[in-house]
Amino acid sequence: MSAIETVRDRYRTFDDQRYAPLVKGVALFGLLAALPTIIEIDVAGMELAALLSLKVLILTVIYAYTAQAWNIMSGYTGQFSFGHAAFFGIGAYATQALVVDAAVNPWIGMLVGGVLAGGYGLIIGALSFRFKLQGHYFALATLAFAELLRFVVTNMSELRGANGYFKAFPRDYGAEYGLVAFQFQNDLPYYYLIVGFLLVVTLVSWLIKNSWVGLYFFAIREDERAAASVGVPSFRYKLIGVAVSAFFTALGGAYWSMYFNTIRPDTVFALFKNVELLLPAVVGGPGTLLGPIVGSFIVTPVSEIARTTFSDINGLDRIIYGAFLVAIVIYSPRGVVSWPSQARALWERVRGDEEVNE
Amino acid sequence: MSADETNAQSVDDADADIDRDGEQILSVEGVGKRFSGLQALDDVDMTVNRGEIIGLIGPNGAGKTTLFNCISGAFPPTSGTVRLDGEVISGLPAHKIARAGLARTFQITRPLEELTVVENAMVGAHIHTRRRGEAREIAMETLEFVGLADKAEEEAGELTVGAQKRLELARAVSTRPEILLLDEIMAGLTPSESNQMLDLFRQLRERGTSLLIIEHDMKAIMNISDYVKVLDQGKGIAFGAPETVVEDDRVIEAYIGGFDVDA
Repeated sequence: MSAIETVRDRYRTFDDQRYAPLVKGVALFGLLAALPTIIEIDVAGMELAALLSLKVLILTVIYAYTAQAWNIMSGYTGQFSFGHAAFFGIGAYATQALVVDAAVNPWIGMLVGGVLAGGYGLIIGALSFRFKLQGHYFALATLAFAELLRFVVTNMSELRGANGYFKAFPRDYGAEYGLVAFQFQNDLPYYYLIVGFLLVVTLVSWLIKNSWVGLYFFAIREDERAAASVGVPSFRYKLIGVAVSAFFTALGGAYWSMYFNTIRPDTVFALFKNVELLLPAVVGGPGTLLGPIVGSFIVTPVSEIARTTFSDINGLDRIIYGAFLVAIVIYSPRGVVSWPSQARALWERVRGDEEVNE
Repeated sequence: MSADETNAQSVDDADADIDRDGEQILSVEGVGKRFSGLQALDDVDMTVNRGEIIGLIGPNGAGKTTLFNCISGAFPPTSGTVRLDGEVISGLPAHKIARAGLARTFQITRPLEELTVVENAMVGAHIHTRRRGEAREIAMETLEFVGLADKAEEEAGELTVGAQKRLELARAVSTRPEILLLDEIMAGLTPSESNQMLDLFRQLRERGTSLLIIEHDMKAIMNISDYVKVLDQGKGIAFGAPETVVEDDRVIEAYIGGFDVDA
């Protein structure tokens, strides 16, 4: 017992230090950077890579990234979005349309997509918040705005309708394979790139959480009227949340389109994409920094492994998603990252009882 | 604004001959509020001067909280004007009114539950600064003032009723308001907690904060208020020093509730 307590006390002392977030961040992203090597380590004749391939890792970090972006709006300000596929798809389409049709560098296309998605988010937000849509109604409104885009894009021949885009070669927009072209000939650079994306959005989230903006976001989430009564302009700050979240989600869509070569309305704007974009944050712990990352490492590999292992059972991965969602929402609305502190509280209660008994 | 002008502006009938000190902070002029068919407030006038403690009393359903909501911008009045420091604030959204120097508490406490106690107060303090450190200092000051400093890092949702009431006060005080509207903040407190609360009111007044207080505890409100405003069925029926108001026939009638005094 005392060994555990010593460790815990030391951790608490460490946690109070100013440099603690930096150390934790370096440790986390160091681990992420080392993962491709770790999965290749041979343990008793079995490579972890057989289960957790680099492709699954990339997918996992993509969803960690998009969940972190979703979290800024829905986890922090409490405006639950069920329609982030709109922003994801805008990012993907802006990038591909500009690359393929106008030979524009994908990085520029990505930024254009980010700005367009931010604008679309502002429109959704301004309309919904002006008419005081809240809770389920707001979630349904965001879903409607996402589905709207799917129908529009499917029927727009200018955006190649239901066929979608197939990614161009780098030479088509005057670049060579590499970072500038946003294209690589194997998966490893793609992995490090998305880890970099995750680092940026996590850093932005951290900065928000540690400023007045984050406190205003949380105040709005907890009680909008109480927040307004002490000077929080909730309409404006909710819009900021939506715009930032939409911008970063679109960058995720842009990355997706460059990595997976092809996009169609029924992939990037898919109904189910909305769930995939939010689930890691909900499972891991909405409103926390670590939750979306931890959540994605739970949800994505399991559903990918299920999908590839039981490929003959169509839709099994979605059943697993659904099961996760239901279980978490019912039993642990604060997500997986709240388990340690809940266990600690339980432990302290048990120990307290013991002391009383003695 | 001089005291004479203040008096000249006081339109409430019982108010006219009272000589009050200090400049006018809040003035409610002919405020009415209609909810689809129900006239919740009807042509209410009242003023609050700097450093005054005004009690707002009346039977249940008299419109006290509705008046607070109209003043603080929870919803706009249907008619009439509210001025803070001479500027019209009626019709402004709640957050702008808060930034203009008017803070309020809620009858049913509204703690930001998943935030810590000090973060709750910091939300109010951020009105004055965007720096987290400064906001934290202001917040800690007010927590010490209300006696919650030792609970600063606890989650607000975990507090007892008495502590939640003090947190409600701390969050509002953190905005450093010119006038504070307190809606039954003493309801549910133990007698000793109530006395502490009354002591806080006096200290706030000494700092120059004006208070407008809704309270059901008559003894407390008569004890603390400089003047009392009485509402009944949405109308102002009396205004004056506590000892004169309790002897007002209309007030007695309102409280006895429809009982015919002459019979």
